Amino acid sequence: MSTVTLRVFRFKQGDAAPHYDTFTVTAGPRTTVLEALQAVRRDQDPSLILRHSCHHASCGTCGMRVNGHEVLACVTPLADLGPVVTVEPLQNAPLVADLVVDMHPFYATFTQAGMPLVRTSDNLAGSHPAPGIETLTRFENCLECGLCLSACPVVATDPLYLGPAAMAAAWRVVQEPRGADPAQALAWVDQEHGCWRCHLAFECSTVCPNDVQPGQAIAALRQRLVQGEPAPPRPRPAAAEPAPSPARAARRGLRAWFDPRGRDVGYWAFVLHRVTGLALVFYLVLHLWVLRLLARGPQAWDDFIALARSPLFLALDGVLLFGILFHGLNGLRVALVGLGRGAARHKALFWALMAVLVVALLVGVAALVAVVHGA
Amino acid sequence: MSAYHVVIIGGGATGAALAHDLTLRGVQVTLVERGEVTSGTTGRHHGLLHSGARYAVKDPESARECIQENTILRRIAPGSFELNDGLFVAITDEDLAYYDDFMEGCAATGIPTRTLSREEALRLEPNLNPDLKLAVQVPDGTMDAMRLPLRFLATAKHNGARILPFHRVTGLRFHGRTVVGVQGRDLVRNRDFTLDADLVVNAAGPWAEQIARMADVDVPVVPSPGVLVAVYGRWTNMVINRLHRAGDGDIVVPQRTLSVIGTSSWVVDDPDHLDVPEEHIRLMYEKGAEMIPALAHAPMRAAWAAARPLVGSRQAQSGRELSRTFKVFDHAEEGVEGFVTIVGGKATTARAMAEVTADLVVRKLGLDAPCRTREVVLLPHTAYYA
Amino acid sequence: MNRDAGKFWWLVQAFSGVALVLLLGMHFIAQHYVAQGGLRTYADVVAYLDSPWVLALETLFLVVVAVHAALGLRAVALDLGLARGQQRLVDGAVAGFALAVVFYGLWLFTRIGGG
Repeated sequence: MSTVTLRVFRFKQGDAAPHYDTFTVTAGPRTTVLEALQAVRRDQDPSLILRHSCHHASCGTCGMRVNGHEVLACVTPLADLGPVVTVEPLQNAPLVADLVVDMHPFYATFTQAGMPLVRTSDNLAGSHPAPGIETLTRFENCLECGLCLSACPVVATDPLYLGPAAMAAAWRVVQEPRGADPAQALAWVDQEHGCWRCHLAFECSTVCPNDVQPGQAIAALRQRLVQGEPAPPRPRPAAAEPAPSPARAARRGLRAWFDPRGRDVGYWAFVLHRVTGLALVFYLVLHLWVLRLLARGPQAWDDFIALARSPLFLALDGVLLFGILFHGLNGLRVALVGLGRGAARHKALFWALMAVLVVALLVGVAALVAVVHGA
Repeated sequence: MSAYHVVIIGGGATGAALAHDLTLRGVQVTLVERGEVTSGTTGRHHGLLHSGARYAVKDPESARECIQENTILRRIAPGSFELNDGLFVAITDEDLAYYDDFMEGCAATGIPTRTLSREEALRLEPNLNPDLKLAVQVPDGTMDAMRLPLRFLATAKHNGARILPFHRVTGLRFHGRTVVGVQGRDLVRNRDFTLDADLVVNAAGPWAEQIARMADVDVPVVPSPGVLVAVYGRWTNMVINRLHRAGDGDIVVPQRTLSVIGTSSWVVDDPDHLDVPEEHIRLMYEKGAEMIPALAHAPMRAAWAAARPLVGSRQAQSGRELSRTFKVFDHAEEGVEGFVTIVGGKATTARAMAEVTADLVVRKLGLDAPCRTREVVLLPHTAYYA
Repeated sequence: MNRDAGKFWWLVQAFSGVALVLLLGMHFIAQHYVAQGGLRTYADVVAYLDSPWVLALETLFLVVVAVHAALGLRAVALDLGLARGQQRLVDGAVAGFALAVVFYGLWLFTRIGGG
């Protein structure tokens, strides 16, 4: 038995602002975060509320952020998490109170994917499933917990984005329609705020407690849309664009880009891609501005060249080279994976490209110094 | 819609089905639940749609309820079940000796059976213990412990019922000795609430006794926890039961890509204090592996306990001796009007429990409204959030 | 925006990005690594741009950069979650930006050497 301090996010409707309460609990080797919170509610503060139901990661209700990571509290052992454990509600969903978020916006989008929710049967005794079907990760693995929406950097800022869970559901319809219309599902994701908004951060797949891999599903949808024969014109499914509802206020906005807690490498790739992209646009404008000197004739330009060979300029060139290399190499990954190539090994691909970046940066800077000093 | 207002305490399977039933009969319903709906016993059961075969020998009343409800639920909640059937497997000669009693019990309670040879059973389920003697196929199934009750709640809500999770009842309101409402704490806004009611139904499951005490009446409910263990891997497609008298660790329910092994049984005083004893986890592995050897090495996803709300004497030792049937109490018999308690039963029989309870409720209210829940097809669970 | 716009502009962004990796690489090598001292002198620049092939390649580079930058700005703007009207405004703004970059660049080409 060890003693753990829980820092629990608290908020009730009508409160001016949320705060954190601290509770001390004891944890055995198997004690889960959910059991610890139940004990707090039973023994210390009966006003604490949270969602839970099945206690074995099957219902998906006890999603929350523990030390910044989206998890299902019922299968998260407390003992592994250090002496102080921070527990907060999911992000990008309207807060009800304490650790409870409102699932209405989740289902408003999720149900539009049109996926038949439960199979009538799973490989019935004596049945002979179609070749390949037994190897599918069934989407019904989705617990509808909403962890992926909480982790996604695009959901954080774009209230119209369909989001990973619903698009994984749409991909299930395409994979195995079971009476639903795959063309309808494809048409639904083929929109500005659908599969084309995803930036392949793969945070959804990282936090998914049941290996649904929504990121890979979105990449597969794109691949299908790019390769598939052009879909006949058809009416858009009603309400295909979710209204910018109260959910909008619940989203975190741009500050989500700069919150490091609990995030994996794909998230950083996304943020760095955005930051380097904006910086490169700024540089483009600057570059064109400097080139105006060319229009002024030889004297102005050759004066600038002298300045450009100063050490400060060279250092800035190094930064520029890094920005270009990162944006270019990660961009290659996003383009490739976004078309379904290498989605299964996106992380290995990322690190391989980063290795290329380091080599190219070193060679590039060395060559730059050599060229300038060789002059 | 009548002017009568009924408050249901408890958002488990029973309260959910009752809210649906009463709403269909034209009664205004408010359901209050101290936590999230299905956060008590309901959400934590092993996900078995009972055929009743498990109780066919020792508890025929419960068995009959199960097979009847099994048939009705398949009709009113299409898509909520895997129609994967169940097998009762005889591993030892002792199990085999139970076969005749078992078949007789199933026949007497109307549960269809099909006896499979060892070879037939192993062809259907290759992961079964190859030493098995024979197996009996019954119409068990797998359900989602949370999403079926959510369908009752969703349908009730869309027919006008008010569902209030995170509303903890702290007391009943009286006029003389007649219950006229409830009071408690709204935990979303952290303020007190009161609700007037023409009648209050206590559907708090293993917590029913705590609620009954608020009216100074007693209900004989025994919170009887059982440990369940979910392991990774879908080792069988069918629900596997041991062909013997219901005991510890004798059922394995496949759920999605997991297998849930259950259960043990003991009794406690407080359903909020549920341990998960290490030796019970070991027992589940051990007993489960007797039917499906691969379970012995299957990695564990979770182990948890759920408290059954059994009806019976508090002198009960393990809970195994108590029936799985249910009982409705009209507390007018103890001098408290306007207050009804429903306890016992199982998730599979929740609709039947609601029907019997609602029959009593409308009789007490003086309404003439027949039950319609056998026919009305339920909305999908997602409609609860729509 | 019609339904297919999402796909179209995503593909344009992806392919212009891939093209930029190549074009920018060439631009870098030609302008900075091959050039003596890391930057071409004025005279060098004039001589370099004299070749129609170079001029075509640099023009292509300019256009691709402008398109990719405009679509990137648009993606960031969409990240912020815009209402329909605002989105149209952003579409117009980034299109204007791309055109401005391209015409400014072309104007520079005409001024260099010729001016």
